[in-house]
Formats: sequence, C-alpha cells, structure tokens
Amino acid sequence: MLHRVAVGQPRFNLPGLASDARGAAMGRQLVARFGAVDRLVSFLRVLSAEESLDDLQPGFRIVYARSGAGTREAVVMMPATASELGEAAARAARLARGQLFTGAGKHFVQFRDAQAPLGYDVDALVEAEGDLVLYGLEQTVPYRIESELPLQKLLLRLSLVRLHGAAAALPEGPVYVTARRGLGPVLAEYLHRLGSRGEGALGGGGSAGASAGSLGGRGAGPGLPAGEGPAAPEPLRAAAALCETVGASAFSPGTTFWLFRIERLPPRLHGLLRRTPGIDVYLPVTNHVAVAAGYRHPIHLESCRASFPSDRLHLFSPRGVVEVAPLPALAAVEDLVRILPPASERAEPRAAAPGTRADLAVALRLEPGGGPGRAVAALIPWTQAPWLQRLVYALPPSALRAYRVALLKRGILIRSAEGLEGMPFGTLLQLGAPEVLIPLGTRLVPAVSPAILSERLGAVGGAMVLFPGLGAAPLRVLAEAIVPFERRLLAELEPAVANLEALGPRERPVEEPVVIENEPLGPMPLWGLGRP
Amino acid sequence: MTPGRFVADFLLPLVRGGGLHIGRPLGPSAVARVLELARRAATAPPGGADPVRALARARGEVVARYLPASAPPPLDETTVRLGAALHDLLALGHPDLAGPGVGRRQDRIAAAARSLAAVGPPRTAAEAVARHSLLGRLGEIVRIDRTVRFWLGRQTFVGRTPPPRITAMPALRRVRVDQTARSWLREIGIPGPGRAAFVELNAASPLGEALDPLRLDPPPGWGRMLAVIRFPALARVVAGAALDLGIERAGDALAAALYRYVGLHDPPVGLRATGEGAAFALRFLAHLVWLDVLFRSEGGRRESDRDVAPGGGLELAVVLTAAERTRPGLVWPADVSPDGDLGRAFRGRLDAFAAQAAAAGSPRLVAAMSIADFAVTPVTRPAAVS
Repeated sequence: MLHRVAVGQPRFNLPGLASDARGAAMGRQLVARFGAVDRLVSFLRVLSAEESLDDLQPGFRIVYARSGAGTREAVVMMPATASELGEAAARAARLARGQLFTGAGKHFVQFRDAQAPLGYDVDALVEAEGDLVLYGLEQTVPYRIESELPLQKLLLRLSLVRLHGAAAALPEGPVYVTARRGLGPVLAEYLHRLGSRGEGALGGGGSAGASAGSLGGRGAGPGLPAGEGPAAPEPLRAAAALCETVGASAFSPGTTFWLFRIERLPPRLHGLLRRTPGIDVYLPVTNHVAVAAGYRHPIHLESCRASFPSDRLHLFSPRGVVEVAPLPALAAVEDLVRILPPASERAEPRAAAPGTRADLAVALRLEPGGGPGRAVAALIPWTQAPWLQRLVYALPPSALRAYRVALLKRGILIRSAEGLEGMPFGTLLQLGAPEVLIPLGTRLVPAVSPAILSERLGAVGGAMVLFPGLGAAPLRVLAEAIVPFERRLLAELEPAVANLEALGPRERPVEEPVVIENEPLGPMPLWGLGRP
Repeated sequence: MTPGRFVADFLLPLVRGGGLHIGRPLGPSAVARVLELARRAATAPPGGADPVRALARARGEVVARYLPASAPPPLDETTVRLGAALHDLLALGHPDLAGPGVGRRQDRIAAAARSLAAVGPPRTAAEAVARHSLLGRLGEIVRIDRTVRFWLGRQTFVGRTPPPRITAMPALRRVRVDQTARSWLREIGIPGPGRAAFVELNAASPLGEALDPLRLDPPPGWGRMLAVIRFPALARVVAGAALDLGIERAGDALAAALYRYVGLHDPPVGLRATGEGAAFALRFLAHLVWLDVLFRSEGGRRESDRDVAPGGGLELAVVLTAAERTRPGLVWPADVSPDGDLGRAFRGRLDAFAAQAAAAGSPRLVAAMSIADFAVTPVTRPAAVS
C-alpha cells in the first residue's frame, strides 16, 4: 500500500527516498515501465525531444523484465539527476501510456502525480524475490530482469518514418550522397563541372561568367559578391571517399560505394539526386550520423550523440543502417576527377589511392636473415624441462641470479639482461627491438624503428613480446609473469616435509588438503532421495 | 554410502583433510541411519579406531582455536544434516549425473540439500563454533581433474583417480597425465539449482562467512553474520580476522554488505533487517577502526595493506562518516573521552574518512545516511490490547 507524502515529512520507509528542495519525495533513480516496445519508443521520442539522453549516461538502461504475473515488459532505468528530469520523464511516460517510478536499488515507488504532489511512500517493504519491485497505487509487482537492450542497438533496429509534403524537402546545409561504385566517378565529374562553372546553392544555374574560375572544393573560398544585384552563388564544394562495407561471410563480399559530402546542394539537383537509381541522399543529424532524405528516425538522434562512436559514420536508410568505419577521409572532388595525360607521352601507372586509412597497414613478418645476433633468451619446450632441471646444478651462481623466467604454455622462457650463456638447447632468441624477442638468424620486416616496434607490439612496462618462430603468432608475456629464475627454483624445490619435523609444538602443522573423490553412483543415483 | 563410510570417508576428511568421497545423494533416511550409528558409538566401550570418536577429536581441535574451554562437539542431528547437505551440494557436480535430464536430477538433489540445511541460525556461540568445526574448510575443498593421454587417445577423469589399467605400461603406451586442481567454491562454483541450499548452509553456519568477508559469491550478508557476531567471543575472532585482511579491504566488503542488508537485497534467510541490527553492524565497523587505531603503529603497515587498491576503504569511510553525522554514539563509545590521545587519534581518522567521502561525491553518502537513519529510528511495535 502507498500513502501520500505529507508536507515536511522527514523520513521515508522506502530506502533511498529523500526530499528534494520542494519537499517532494525523490529517489536516486527513475524507472519507467511499458507494456510494449512501441510505447517504449514513443517514450524515448518524447523524452529525447525535451532532454538529451546523453545527459542520462551512465546509468541509462533498457531492460526486459518478467513480472511476477508472468507478463514481459520493457523497463527503462535512468539516474534522477534533477527534479525537472523527473517531471519530463513523467510527462513522457504518461504520453506513451507507461508509468514512472522513483527509488533506488531494488525498490521503486510511483512517481508523484496530481493526486500526490509530493509523491508517494510505501507503508512497508515487500520481501519479494526479484531484481525490481515496483510499488504502484493499484498493485505492487516484483520483476526479474531477463535481458538488456542497449540504447544503440535499439536505435539501429528501428525503422525510419517517411516524411510527406514540405517536411520531405531538402533543407539548406550539407548533405551526404552515396553512389554505387560505377556511378561515383561520373557523379564526381558532374559535381566538379558544376563547381567549375561556379554553380552553387543560391545561383540555381547561374551564369558561368558570374564566378568563372572560382573552383569549389579544396583551396576555394566562398564566391565573392559580384557588385550589385542578387547575391553571387556560392560555389559548389564537394568531397568524396570510396568506402567498403564488410561482407557477412567469406562468400558474400562487402559492397563498395562512393560517399560524397556536398556543402550546399543546388535546389535543382535535389530531385535529380533523389530520383536517380543507385544514388541516395542523406541529411546529417550529427557529425557522425545521417538519415536518408525524406525520412526521419523515430527518436531524436541529436540527443543520443554518445550512442554513436565518433570514429565511424552511421547512415540510416529504409533498407537498414550502413556503418562506415573508420571515419572516411574525404578528398575534394577536383582531386578525384580523371586527368587526361598528354597524348605524346606514355601514361605512367599510378597506384590507386586507398579508400580508407586502414589500407596502408601491412602485417609484420618474421623472415630468415639478419646478421649474427647475440642470444639474450631461450625458449625451452616442456619436453626438455628435465634437461633444464639437470642443467641448473651446473649453472654458475651469477647466471642463476641474472636470469629471469616465465612459464608459458609453449615452454619455459629464460631471459637474461646481459646475454644468455650455457644454454645448449631450446630456441635461442635475440632482440629484434627492445624487449621484442625473435629467434637467432631471423629479422622483422618491414624494418621500422625498434622504438616504434616495441611501442606498437606492447613491449613496454616490463612486458616482453616473443616471436616463437617463422609463421607462428607472437606472444605477449606480461611483466608479472616474469620472475627471477632462482625464486622459481626455490619455490619448486621447497622441502616441506623436512621443515615440518622441525616445527615447534605450538605451531599448527600444514593441514592435508580436502580433495573431492567422486565414487561411481551406480545405475540409479537418486535412489532413496525421495521426491521433493 | 553406508553410515560408517559417510563418517569415515566424508565427515572426517572434511575436518581433518584427505579424500572427500562423494557417493549417491543423501536424504532424510540416510540421516537417520547415521544418527543410529552415532548412538551405538556413544554406548560402545572406548578404544579402537572408531571414526565417530576420531571425528569428535578432530572437531574438538578446531573448536579449541575459538573457544578453548568448550568440549568436543557430538555427532548430533544438526551435524549430520549439515554434512549430508554439503555432500549433496558436492554431488551436484558429479560426472555420473551428466546426460539428458541432468537439470531435473540436480533440482531434486538441490531440494534435498536445502531441506537438510534448513536448521536455522545457531543459538549459542558454542553451537556456532561446533557447526563451524564441521564446515570451516569449505573454501579449501578442491577437485582434481586428470586427463590421461596415451597413444590411442585420451580420457578425462573428473574428481577421480584413473584406474591402474589406464596408466599401465606408461613408456610403451606413451602415457601422460595432466592434472588440474580447482577450488570448488572459487573456481568451479555452486551450480545454479544449489545456490539456495548453499545460502541455507551459510545461514546455518555463518562463522566461515564472517571470517572471510572478501568472498565474492555469494557475497557476505549481515543477516547471516549477525547471528554469530552478536556473541562477544566470536565478534573478537571475526574482528581479528578482518584486521588481518586489512581494515580497508575487509571494511569495504562489510560496509558494502550493509547496503544489501538494509535494502533487503540479501536472500531471505538469516536474521531480518532491523534498526538494531544495522546499528550493531555500524558499531562493529567502528570497532574495527578503533582496533586499527589502537594497535597499528604509525610507521609500519602490515603486509596485507600493500594489496589495498587505490581508493580502498571508501565504502567504510562513507558509512562511518554518515553514522557519525547522524548520531555520534554509533561510532564513539560512551566511556572514551574525545580529548584524550586515543580520542584525538580516532577523531583524526574520522576526519580523514570524511574527506575521503566528500571527495567521492554525495550520492553514496546520501544512501549511507539513510542506513544510519534506519539504524537510529526508534522501534515501534503494535501495543497489545487486552
């Protein structure tokens, strides 16, 4: 049962409930409950129009919960950062036919409404099993959380809403255009020609002489006013990049498309670009999110900036979401149009510019070669561990003190700072870079500087990177796994039994471990157990 | 498993160490048979290798560590029920139960274990220690899994010793045995159906839980621990263990458990959350700090303190700061003067706690204040009307 909070009530029965500045009961968290996902989406749409969902992070969660009565409901949990947020969330929840609760931890009570301006408190807590207990005016329901739906996943799953009439018209400002691979160069040349003619957003097909010579794109500023009369058209500036999507499997390769960013699209091109098959127009919502022209996302994406990583671009279209990662490096279209070489000279082949920055990366390889190196470590397979144990008795004290050891799955790695001596077996290793171990007689290519190599491989802070052999993947040995050789030896050779005999009578002997010994259960293992 | 073997091969190794033999799950009828054996052993003449007496001697040594004047605990019904419940919990992971319908079988075993373990919290300190003498080594139980590889293949033995025929002629058959020892409680874990029974077992013998507040799963619960900490002799033992672990680490774990206790987030076994219980818990946490102030020298820090993570002790600082602001009597004993050396040292520690809590932000402090409020709220009970 709930009761209304009285004016000046200092204490509440619900844990975590406190009075705000106006004396209303407010918890540290808000919980909104909805019977269906479409109501949840309506709630998020209304709330995102008023409040930035980014301000509710961290702590904003969407979960599916199973009530004690068996119904499955969508529950939104968010921190109650301010009373105003609570009011906005309550309005949005009412509009979406949901309910809002406040509280902390596990127990939440119904949020204040017109009947109880200062909120509600419970008469007594209910001891119910579950992750949430929602105390409403009509009923108290325990919920068990079944799954969680990240906000980003919800945003990516929702279908776009089609716009009609004036709302579907393209606004001024930058647009993104995607074109299939074959259409990209044609479109780039077309945009380049428009820019060369000085055609821009305000001109709508202005004369070529008005701004002749002012090229769009790189190095071109906005068009200068041409004296009196109407404002001179701003030159069309566009940039483009070749993007690739990742295929779902090895048998379905990803598609390649061109991505253009046009700063001010001339109005006469709106219809052309939107009606041409293979070309789609997107309107940027944030720096990293764009939605297809003529559509809108059900939720105000500009209030969910944190849900989209800043290192990639998301393009929402009715066919789904295309994620361009990493963020494409756009080049001005005048740099992309075809250059006709002089006829008298033979054209020199040029390497194609990579579409994305990641294409420059090459794999680090270990290959035979290199000068005679100095062995500083050895990798001894476990099958040769008995040899090492016998060798230990012959090693000089200086070697035992100087060597360090790491026990790896592949074998025993022995490392010496000065130089490894007296190790006649195992794979001898040299330094390919600081703390990067490679077998003797090999080298790492490409021959980048050792400092960069160590940094990129993570061989810093005492860690080592080991290349066990040609064609084998490198291993990173953490600093804490490398211990002094003599300490490892002593731990293994500790004569526990001899010391026990010398213990004094007051010291407790080492107790024998308790070890499980499973016995055969026979054909009827539950015989005699009885039914619950 | 016969009653004699249950005592000799399960209960005795559980206390003294050795092979813990797990057989068919046990029910109430098996408990009755073991009790009959205990009655016969009590009337038998002394001498001989009687496992019941050996068990009593081994448990007596454990009890003497906590309550030196106590007699060796007898093999009574509570002991047998708790032992049988643990046996059933260990049987949940028996490899012979695997196969179709394993979930149903586990449910039946877990239900039997839960009914056996439901003996309630201990009523006296001697009873608590007697139960702990049986279950005190739960955290040390290990299972050794062995994989035997030979020239034709390999075979895995979960918690079993490979028979000699498997390892025969090792050189000719190229036999290699890889074995892995895993802690039952920390690495293998309790199967899902048995968690409720394990919580019941902890409620019946909470001293082990109180001595190991850093345990992660299930986390320590004040509702269970208060059943033993309310006895002064055991409270001293628990406080000593917490100081050995480090005031910051143990205090943090115990303070975090206080939120769950007051918020009714713990499983509904053990003592109910009350204001007196919360106040006692707060006073116990303050008692730990008093002990730390009294016995830790300024220059030297113990070995355990080196393991304290950055920001360690924050939960303890927040809870005690809130308690002191709400009612100083929760952390200050009435007979200690704040103006003496000891009082000033404790005042300094409280000031450091307050600074640490303020740096951490207010939301946690607000929650801790509600705990302290709950602890000092006067208890109202309905008046009896005749």
